[in-house]
Amino acid sequence: MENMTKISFDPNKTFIKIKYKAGKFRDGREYPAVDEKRPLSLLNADLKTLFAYTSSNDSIPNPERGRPRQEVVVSILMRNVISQKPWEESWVSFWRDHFSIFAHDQNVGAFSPHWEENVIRRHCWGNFREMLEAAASHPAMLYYLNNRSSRAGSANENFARELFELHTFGKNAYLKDLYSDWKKVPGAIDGRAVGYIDEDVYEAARAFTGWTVNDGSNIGNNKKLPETGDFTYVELRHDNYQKRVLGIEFPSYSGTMVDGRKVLDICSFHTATAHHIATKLVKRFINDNPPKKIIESTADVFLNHKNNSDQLKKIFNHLVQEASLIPNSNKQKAITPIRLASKFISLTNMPFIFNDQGFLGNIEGAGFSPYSWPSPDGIPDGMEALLSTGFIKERIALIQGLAENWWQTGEFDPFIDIGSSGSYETLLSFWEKKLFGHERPDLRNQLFKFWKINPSDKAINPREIAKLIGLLACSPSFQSEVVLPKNII
Amino acid sequence: MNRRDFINKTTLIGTSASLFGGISQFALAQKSHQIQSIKQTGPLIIVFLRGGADGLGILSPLEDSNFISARSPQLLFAPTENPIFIAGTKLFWHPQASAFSELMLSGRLVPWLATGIINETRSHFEAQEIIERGVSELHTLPDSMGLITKIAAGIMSPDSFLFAGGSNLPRAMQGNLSAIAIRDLQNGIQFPGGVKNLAVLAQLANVDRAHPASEPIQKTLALLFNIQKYLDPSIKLDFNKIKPYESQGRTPYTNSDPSVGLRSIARLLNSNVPLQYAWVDHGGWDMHEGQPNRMNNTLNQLSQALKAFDEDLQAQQKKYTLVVLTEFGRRFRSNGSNGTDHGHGGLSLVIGSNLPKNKVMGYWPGIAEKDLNRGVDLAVTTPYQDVLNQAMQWGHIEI
Repeated sequence: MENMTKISFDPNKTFIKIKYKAGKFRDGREYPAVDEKRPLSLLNADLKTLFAYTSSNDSIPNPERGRPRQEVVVSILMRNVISQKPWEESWVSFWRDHFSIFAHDQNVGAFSPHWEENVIRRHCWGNFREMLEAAASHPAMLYYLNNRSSRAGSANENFARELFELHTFGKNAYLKDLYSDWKKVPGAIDGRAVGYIDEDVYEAARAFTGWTVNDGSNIGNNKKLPETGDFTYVELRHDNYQKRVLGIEFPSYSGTMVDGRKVLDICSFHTATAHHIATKLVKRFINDNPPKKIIESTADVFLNHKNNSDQLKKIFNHLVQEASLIPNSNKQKAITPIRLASKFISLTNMPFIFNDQGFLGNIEGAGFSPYSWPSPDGIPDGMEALLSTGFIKERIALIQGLAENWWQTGEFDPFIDIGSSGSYETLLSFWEKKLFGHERPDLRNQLFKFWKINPSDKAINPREIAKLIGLLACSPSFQSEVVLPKNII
Repeated sequence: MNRRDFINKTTLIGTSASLFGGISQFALAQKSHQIQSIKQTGPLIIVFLRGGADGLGILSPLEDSNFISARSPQLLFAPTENPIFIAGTKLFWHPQASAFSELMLSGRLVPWLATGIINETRSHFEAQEIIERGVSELHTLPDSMGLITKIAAGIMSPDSFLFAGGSNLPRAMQGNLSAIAIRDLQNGIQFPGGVKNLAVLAQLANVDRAHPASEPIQKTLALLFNIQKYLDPSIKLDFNKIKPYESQGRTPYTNSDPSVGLRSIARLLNSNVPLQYAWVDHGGWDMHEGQPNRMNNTLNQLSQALKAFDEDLQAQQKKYTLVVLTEFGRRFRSNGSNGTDHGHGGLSLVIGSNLPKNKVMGYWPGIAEKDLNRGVDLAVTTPYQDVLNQAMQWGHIEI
């Protein structure tokens, strides 16, 4: 049923509005006022280019520093709109939310296009261990969870704690009551601890000291790191002494990045990590109340293929197979605003053009939009969160705005495939089949009753029909879908 | 502890608090703390500081040598006026918290020291969930209701609803009561297509009620209609922009959090909405790095917002009780990034119209190495449940 029209996404032909008043750089130089539309130009920019958008730099006018984030959000929207395989974008967004970063923080947002491409999209069908290291060593994450400034002596715990709690083991494996009694952690004496304690967080924080960004900062003796924005390991900042993480001893002076990589190994190959991620995946792709059996089997696939280069794709296909045994009514998931808009655009065959006339603001107001969640636990999942009272009005506005072309995003033809000679009844039943997969006379009768429409009258006005179709798509049944495809990929 | 015991103990504070420090802490660990439901004479509002606010950086023991040696000099500030004395320790308000000091002097703020959860977790998300479910641990959960839902159950009037001044409903308000989240009510509620669309969409949701999205949609549409009716009694059919809200106080609300959410609450109260329970989130307190600047900005947002809110409500002669909570305090020692990592004991504030004058609540546990929780953090000597219960008592009794 999904669309036939080719909507294209060419960053060079996709424009965002840049508008600000004249002002001054921090060093006093002046910059002129700007009011223009610019094509997306930063999606494939290198780290050095993006580094200029961080706050430590003074070459980009302040009002323009949010551009990397804006561009990446527009690109995510467009990739969803043009995708013929929406489950692929759902998979990408799962991993984007799993390794959540907050791009409204200028220093983090500056790198967001590079992060999206080189951490999330590059690795999300690949291997978890590789993805984890890509994330841990990317400037966006190093800035976001402050490992950039962590150094021997008094390490910064932020990254290590969230690595354990959010990216890998999960809070169920946090044995908080033991705090420092590592010998009491079951399995720890044999180097097979079942979970982690606060002291493991402290030790892991030490392991990552020195993992930082070439951000121009001083490393002593008037020597400065270059301002290139890429990852670097600064030996002088690394805590080289012996460590113990989950009962496993790390010798002193292990060598360049060896301590940190060892922590990533422990995290990536642990049963608790497999369970934590499997639980989130089954919840996200199958049911808000994830069936235990599927979590178990998914965790098994995670561990059995932990060294495979397509471990994550295998997990995806496993979920597809498990889901194929479940009736559609038991795998309905509430959809995000971006998917809601994309689904409507696709089903109506709308000749969508991204137009920076307020549409983006509406997408962002209708729910948790990419890279906008401040804390590292990532965007909440589930019907209750997505259809929170704060978002319902904006979701309705989003659909009606698209149906009625409020933002000049394109008008769709409500007579498509059926001609303009049909009755209201014929037209709406045709559109119900498109939107819901089957006719919904209960819904259309409400519309007829409310607007005192005679169902057998000929429908002539395309705008009026478009509005009715928009209202249909605001029904509860349009707010959810089966996420996974029927067949493995 | 029952109510009488509780009040007896709190009257001792300031004289022999240190004496009780150790004992009460031991006793706390033995109990499961219950949240009570006490009907207020005005609304109960929670401002939740997300990320774990550094209570020691807001009210600082600047003359304590333990503190001076534990913190990077950049995290200290020059002593401010009107310090608080407790158990032989002097605590100074951060310069950006001068509004709190003023509120305290005028009897509209009570600081509560060394508060938090009776739980060892140093995870944001566990600690927040513990508070937002009104419990002390997450292993055995009595129900799935949120903290505010529990407090309001049975005593919220049928024409009222829980209100969050933010874009999403906090965990604390989940459950079976009518609840809505709207960050900004400055222009009222603008519903696309006006009341006619709202009515037909409610019909569609009703017909489609087999779908799980039906219930939240129907509830939301009904609440939006009701709220707009209060804000604009003429309830024009088009749900048009209404006149922006103007504070009655001298200090303006800003367009940042938590000002916007508090302004929305003030607007509802001003329009005589029967609001009893409200919540506003304030993010940005997870200061692992660059704390001096972040504290300046974030604390300024908080103190100015609360000052604006208090002036506004005083001018309107409205009673209220507001409690500022956070999931935990921060590490006693600062880290090498000029920040502080996750800690334990924190600071709560009670603000409002019915408070005892010039009072400091809590047992100061001390900050010598032997007094610190696990040797690294300020101890918790009052569970957050007791802070809430006491605040509700105050909100209930005319003083």
